[in-house]
Amino acid sequence: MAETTVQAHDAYSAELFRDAEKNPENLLVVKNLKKYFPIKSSFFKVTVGNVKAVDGVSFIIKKGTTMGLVGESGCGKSTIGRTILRLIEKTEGEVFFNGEDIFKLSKSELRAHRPNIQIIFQDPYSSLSPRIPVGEIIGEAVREHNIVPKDEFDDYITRVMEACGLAEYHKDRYPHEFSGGQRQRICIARALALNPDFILCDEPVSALDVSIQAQIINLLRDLQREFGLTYLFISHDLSVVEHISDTVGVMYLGNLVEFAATEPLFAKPLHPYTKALFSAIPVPDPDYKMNRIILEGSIPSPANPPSGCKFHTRCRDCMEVCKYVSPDFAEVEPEHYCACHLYNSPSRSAELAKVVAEMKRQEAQKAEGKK
Amino acid sequence: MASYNLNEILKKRAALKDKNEEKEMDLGDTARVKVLSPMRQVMKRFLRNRLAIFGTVTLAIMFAFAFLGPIFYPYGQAETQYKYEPMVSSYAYVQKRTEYTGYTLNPEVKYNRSAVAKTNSNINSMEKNGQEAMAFQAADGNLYLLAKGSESIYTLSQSAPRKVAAFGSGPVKVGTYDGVRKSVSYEGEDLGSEFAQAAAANCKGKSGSFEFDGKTYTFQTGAVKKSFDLFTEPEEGFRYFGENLGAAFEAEAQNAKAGEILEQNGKQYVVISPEKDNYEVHSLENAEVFMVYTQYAFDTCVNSLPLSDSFKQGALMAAVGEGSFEAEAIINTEAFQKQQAEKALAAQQNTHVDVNPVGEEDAPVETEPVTTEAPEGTGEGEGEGELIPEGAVFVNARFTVAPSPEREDVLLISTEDGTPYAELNTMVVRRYNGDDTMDLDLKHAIRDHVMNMLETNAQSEKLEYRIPKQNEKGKNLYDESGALQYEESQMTVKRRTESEFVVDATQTRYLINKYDAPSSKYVMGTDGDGFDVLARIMYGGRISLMVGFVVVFLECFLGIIMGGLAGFFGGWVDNLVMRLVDIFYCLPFMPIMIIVGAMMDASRMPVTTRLFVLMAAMGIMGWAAIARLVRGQILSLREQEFMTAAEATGLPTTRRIFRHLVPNVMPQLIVSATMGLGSTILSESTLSFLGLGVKHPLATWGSMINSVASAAAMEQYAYIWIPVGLLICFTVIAFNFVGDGLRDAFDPKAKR
Repeated sequence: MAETTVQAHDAYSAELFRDAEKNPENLLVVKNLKKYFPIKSSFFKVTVGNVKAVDGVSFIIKKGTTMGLVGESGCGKSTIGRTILRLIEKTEGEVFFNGEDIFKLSKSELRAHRPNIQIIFQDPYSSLSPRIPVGEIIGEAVREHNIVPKDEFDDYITRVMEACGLAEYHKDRYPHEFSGGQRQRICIARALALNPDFILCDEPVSALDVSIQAQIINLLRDLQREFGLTYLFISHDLSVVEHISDTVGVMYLGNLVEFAATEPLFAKPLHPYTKALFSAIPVPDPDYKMNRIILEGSIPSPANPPSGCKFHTRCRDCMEVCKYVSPDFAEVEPEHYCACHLYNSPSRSAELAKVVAEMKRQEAQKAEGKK
Repeated sequence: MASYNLNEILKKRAALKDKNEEKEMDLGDTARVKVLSPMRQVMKRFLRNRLAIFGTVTLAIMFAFAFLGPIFYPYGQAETQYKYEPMVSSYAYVQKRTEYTGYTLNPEVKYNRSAVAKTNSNINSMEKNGQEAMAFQAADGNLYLLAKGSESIYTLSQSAPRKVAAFGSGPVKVGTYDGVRKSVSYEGEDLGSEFAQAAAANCKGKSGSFEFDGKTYTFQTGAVKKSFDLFTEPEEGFRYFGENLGAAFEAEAQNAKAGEILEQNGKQYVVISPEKDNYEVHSLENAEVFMVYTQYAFDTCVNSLPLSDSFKQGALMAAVGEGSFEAEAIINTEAFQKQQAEKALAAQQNTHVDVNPVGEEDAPVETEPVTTEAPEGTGEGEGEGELIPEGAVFVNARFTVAPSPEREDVLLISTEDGTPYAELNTMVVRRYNGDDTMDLDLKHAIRDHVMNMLETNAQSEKLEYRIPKQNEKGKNLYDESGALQYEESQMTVKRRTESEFVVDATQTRYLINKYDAPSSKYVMGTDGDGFDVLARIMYGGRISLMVGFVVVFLECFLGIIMGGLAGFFGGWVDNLVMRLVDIFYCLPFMPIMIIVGAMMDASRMPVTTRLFVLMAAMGIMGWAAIARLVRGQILSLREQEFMTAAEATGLPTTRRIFRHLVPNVMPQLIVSATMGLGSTILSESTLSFLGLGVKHPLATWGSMINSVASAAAMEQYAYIWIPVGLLICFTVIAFNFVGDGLRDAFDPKAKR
């Protein structure tokens, strides 16, 4: 019976963004993406389990918009990012970029496709090769993919660098000569120079101090405005996400629990986890009395997630059904998706109540059998 | 592909910007700050390290020394150095002749070999018994007479047997009965056909006897099949076959020994004993002299003058007989006369000839070694190797033989006008190398010494004489006029046996300059092959440094590729490469190199090929460590985000490895390669020292030390191995200093 519920969940999810990839407005469509990392026994390399880093995630990013992806550390944000870029292979699901399934590309096609999707890393120190001058770091792939004619190459790199707030004379310098903010600009320039449609920003500002964060965020916004870029902005800094994003996805333990446009989401979060998360946003007013929701316990292991709703162990509003059945990721309000049993339709609730009763009976039987 | 063209947008923007902006750099502009590239920074830090500077300078000097030095240095690494140096060698030997040599006078005379085989022992027994002549019958039945002609000359003559009488107590052979023909061939008197019949009737079996005509005959099987020798009892007294020679002769003959010569009535008779107890007396008539035996050896007055056979025979026969003879000889030729004139001049000056050595035995004479280039001879053809001097013709001439007025036991052969031409001497003085190139005066001098030594029973005596100068090739030197050049030589006559003497002479020879101590000519001396040590050190440095660099390059090349593959791809590639690395780590370096060296020895590889094989083998043995290092580095670098970024930008794999990974491994690689250079040079030296590395004549530092490896040589020729050892030491230390310096410069944090 438990299996049937999982199947029902998948069927529902497939229904959710059906044919979304065919809409040219939707630059990136992610459907039921899963990435499990196998746990192997030490000697015989037998897979004994999986770390479910990403466990069925679906969302859409429209062209020219920014999606923020928030969540606790280790909830699978970065894994989603890398899987979308196909830097690591998926376990299940589909990723459509401009209506094209990324995982169906051959290696050479993928390589030709790479410039369209770029990535900016969290750590600007380790993401630049220390032995290559900056001009070469930025221009290397440009030359490789013949983005500009050869005679315009030097000027192009200079202009890209200038667009990212770097000077021409920086070209011949090496990464160690730059500050963190400048390095992040170099990373941005490297990504931008490839003329991408989509940039994955994997916590691009979390390693930087606040003033530099603002510079970088503003730079990203300016670039977006100017070139119509699309971002997936991964961060655990909610205020930054609120500032930059058009839509926001909230993740918990490999699942997207809530996905909506920024304003409605911040105004009225639906999922208990989102509520708890947003209650932690500091307000710059000393007189403001904060009503913080403190989550008990720590995040469970993704290798052995709780049954039913993964959040039920820490949820204030936990119900009986949450322990047995994982909630569907459904459009609770228009363009507002949420995975929580609180927002089940009555018919669905009744249906699930039956399932829970059946599962309880089976459990009892099992327990008796054991005795 | 993208929805916009960044290039175009940026161009437009730049065009707008250019119009309203004028660039001006202020004092605090960061563009003014010069920041060093990583390599420059490393360089700067490196140059602050004193030891590293010392190492670099040492290496620079070493390289200049090894690679530029040979260009300016006059000697090569395998160029044998020579020198002129007086060398004492056995120059000649002196022998008092005891054997007699035979010269055939008449080649038409057919003689039995047994007749001449025992001549020497016959002469010895004659001399012992004081006999003047001796006769014997050879196996061919002919009579041979060996007679003393004069002192040291014997003649051998041959004549047909002419039996005149027989006597003795043994059975007398009557004849031989031929069983096939049924006839008897008689030795003496014919006994008629009845005797033959009697013999035919009785001769059966091996031996026996029968009666005939009142006499008893014995028979025994003869030399030929079915033949019998018949004997009878001898008659008493002499049996004459012709004229009776009288009782006095008979008594004389019966007292004579076999081979003795008797005279009767002006005729010569000889007693021989064909069988035991039987004697025959033959008359000697018409005996023809066909050989002459002598102890004398010929010494010509002029050097190397060939003598014809007729000259030798004539001289010997003249010595026995009338004292003069006519023979073919080289005389009155230009060469002959020139040498005569030279001799006369030398005799006049009387400076070189030491005919009276008494009292001068210990006179110290300094002979300076000739080191300058000797003048060229006018022609090689005039060398002593030529048998006949140029322009020499054999002509008929008359010579006289007479005892030398000056010297004992010497016969002097002179031409008609009294010029001495040759000498006969029983004291033979000859060169060891077979040439007869000694002056007659020298021979005389040596002979005098030998005579003196024989008298005084001394063991050695010294003399001084001039001998021909020799050039590099051991040929005699001639001056511009073609005259032979001489040098002074100190000679020592040494007794070897009772009648044999050896003459040791100092002679300036062109010698390999071995183990020469350091001098202004050879700054570091020469080694055991006569090679200049400094030159070899330079060339050895070349090879040692080259081996070091090539091997380390090979190691790095293999190591980077293998380690890079393993580190970058991981998985089974990593596993495979790392297991290969483990295997190579397990192989012990020295035993493997010893085996490789032995295999190269066995295949007789040329030295240069050997060098390359050695380098390849060392490189293959050494890549594992580098591969491990590279792999470790790459494993850690691979996880760095810039590698992910490189992948995300769609760079091809090779570019990612070689543009992003390898340069980041370079610092560690350079450090370990620099350190490896030192150890490679050291192990190459070790291998060469063990004789398994680079081989002679190519020089390496290791093999140079090996050339003086024995304890004695090490002590004696310290000037060879100490500089080489110091060079090895300094080079390795310098490489280590540079390596340390590089490591500190690449990673300043790691310093203490």
